[in-house]
Amino acid sequence: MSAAVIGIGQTAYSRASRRSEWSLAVEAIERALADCGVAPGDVDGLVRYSYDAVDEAMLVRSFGWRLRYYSQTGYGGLGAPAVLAQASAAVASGQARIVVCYRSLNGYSTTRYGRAERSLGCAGGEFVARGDRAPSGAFAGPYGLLSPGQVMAMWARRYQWEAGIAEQDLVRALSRVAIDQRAQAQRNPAAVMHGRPLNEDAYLAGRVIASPLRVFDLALETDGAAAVVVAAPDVARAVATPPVWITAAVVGMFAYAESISVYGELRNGPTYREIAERLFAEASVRPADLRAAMIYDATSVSVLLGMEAYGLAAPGTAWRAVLDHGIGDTAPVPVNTSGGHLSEAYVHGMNLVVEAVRQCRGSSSAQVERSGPVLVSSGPSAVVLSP
Amino acid sequence: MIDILAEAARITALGECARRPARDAVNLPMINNWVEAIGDTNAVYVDEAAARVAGHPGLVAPPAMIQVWTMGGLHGQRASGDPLGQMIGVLDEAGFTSVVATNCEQTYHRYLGHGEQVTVSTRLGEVVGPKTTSLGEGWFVTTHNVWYAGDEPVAQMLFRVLKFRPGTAIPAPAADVLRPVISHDTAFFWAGTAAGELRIQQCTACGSLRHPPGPMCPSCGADKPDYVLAIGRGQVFSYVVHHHPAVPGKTLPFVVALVELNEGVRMIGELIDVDPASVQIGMPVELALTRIDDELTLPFWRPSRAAR
Repeated sequence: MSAAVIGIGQTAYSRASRRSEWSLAVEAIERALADCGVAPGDVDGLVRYSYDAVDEAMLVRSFGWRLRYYSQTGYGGLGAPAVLAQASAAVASGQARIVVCYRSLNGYSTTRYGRAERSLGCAGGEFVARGDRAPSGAFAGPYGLLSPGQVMAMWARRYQWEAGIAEQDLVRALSRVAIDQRAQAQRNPAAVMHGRPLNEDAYLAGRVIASPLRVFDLALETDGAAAVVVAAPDVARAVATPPVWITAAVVGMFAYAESISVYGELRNGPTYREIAERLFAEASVRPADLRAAMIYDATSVSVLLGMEAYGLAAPGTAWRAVLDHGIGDTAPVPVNTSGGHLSEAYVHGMNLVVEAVRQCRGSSSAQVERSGPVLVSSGPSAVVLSP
Repeated sequence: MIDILAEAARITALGECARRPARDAVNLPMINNWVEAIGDTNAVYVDEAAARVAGHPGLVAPPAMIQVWTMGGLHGQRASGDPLGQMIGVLDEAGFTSVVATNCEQTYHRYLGHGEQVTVSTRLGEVVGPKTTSLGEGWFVTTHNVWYAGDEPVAQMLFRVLKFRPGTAIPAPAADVLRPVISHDTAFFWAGTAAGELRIQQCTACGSLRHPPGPMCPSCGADKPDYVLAIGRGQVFSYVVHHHPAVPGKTLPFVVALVELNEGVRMIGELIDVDPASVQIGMPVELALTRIDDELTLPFWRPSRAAR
């Protein structure tokens, strides 16, 4: 065990923080440090998302840190497990002892990630489709393929075809993901959708955005920040909080494995499954041994694909597993127990990391009773966390 | 520097100019020529009995001929006191030398009978500008004409022209499309669509195809790409029917497909001429190169003719 998560922190999750992302980041980090009782001055490493508007320079100024290590992860949501992988590597190699990882965004009031403008270029005052990635790139934007939700609708359609099922079956499975995550949010007072349950009728009455995906299949847009503290074993054993060990990590990249690509293999494909198998081998666990899994849910279909990629269901069968058992308390391995991006908050995966730590500590609002490690995955990036 | 508005005010203040008489009285030969040219077969203009049945005292002239009676003929000169002529002169001098008529609204008070001698007067109405128009920077000049039989007004006309400065046209707004940024790696592709070809990058060393294009072959590592021409057929690998939110230039819902070409590469494109509810994975499609404007031709796709 070379590194552990020792502290977690989060701000209120809302649609109108009325604060800067800088201020949100500072609060989440302060809470994470307070959680484990580490003095801010002891932090010597920082890992952030390249997408974050709050950078290292801002935070070292705020906290008075003298960092020995900092780095960034790319491709947005792939960073959720990747920040832990980098922090763990920095600690294991001795480049840092106490590393803060964070994500802060006014995802509703400032930067709406589902909107095309974010990824479009600008020329002569006009939006243009730049680069070759879809959505929004030169080979996609001119056709109106502009947002992640549209691409994931294509994934969903392809998944339906490969699983050999009717649209109706796909929609029922997707609705079960959305409804079960919403139910978990009713147990989580911090969730944006706390107090707003969802049933199948309401799900089906939801507006179709990009068929087969409806509005409840898409991640929320949230203002908020979340942070964790990763530390070396001697630090982890000295603090009051129980250590949550980073037992295996993978930050995978291969052709078209970047976030939200339309080309290459579907995200339950053989290359994703190989990555997962190696991860579980390194962690010495089997998927069935997991206590819970936090699967990056930009849309509901990502959960089905992630379950198949990470061995919770055979390829083409997650839809059936979800219809049979759901993804909540009755599932063999509960998924996204805080409500996830669909119903807790959209903090670009960091809220899933925080929930994984809570599950390991036994402090989740939807605590899974049995023991075992917890998976956090986002496409080709993943970590296994163990109490 | 000519003060166009001051000149306009001066000319407007002159009011209605002297009435100019028609060259000829209202007459049947001119009416015969006009109705034949226009294709007006109403008998009241050429058949006296029909005119009487219709309640006219005799043959009448088509009301829409009103301007014909006072035209100057092949070598006619505009009278020096004509307000429109004066205003056009001012704008010509100011550099707004091109002209296009934009409005003509005529009102007829009564029919004219044969033998009536009409006169016409002109006064300058509004002069508005400078305006930015699709033709160029210019001024709208409105004049009002009244035709009289004796002192009785029989017809009137609002006439408006745009006098514009040639060469100042703003390019017509491009089609409402997100333009692809063209790079060194992708220029051949867009040059191809403009030339009516769908080009797929091909490695010159191992022959493998790739799309989107890039500088190095992922199969063999060679860095000398060329391209082959796609035959323009493939099938739907996956697709999305987009319903919300609105996308500039698109009518909802629209279909974007990931097309697997017969050559093996996959390409994104809008699927057109199709009922969104009928789209299926595996559906055969064919290329529909669509010219957006002078600079951009996009590969769209449509259900293949064989399958329709």
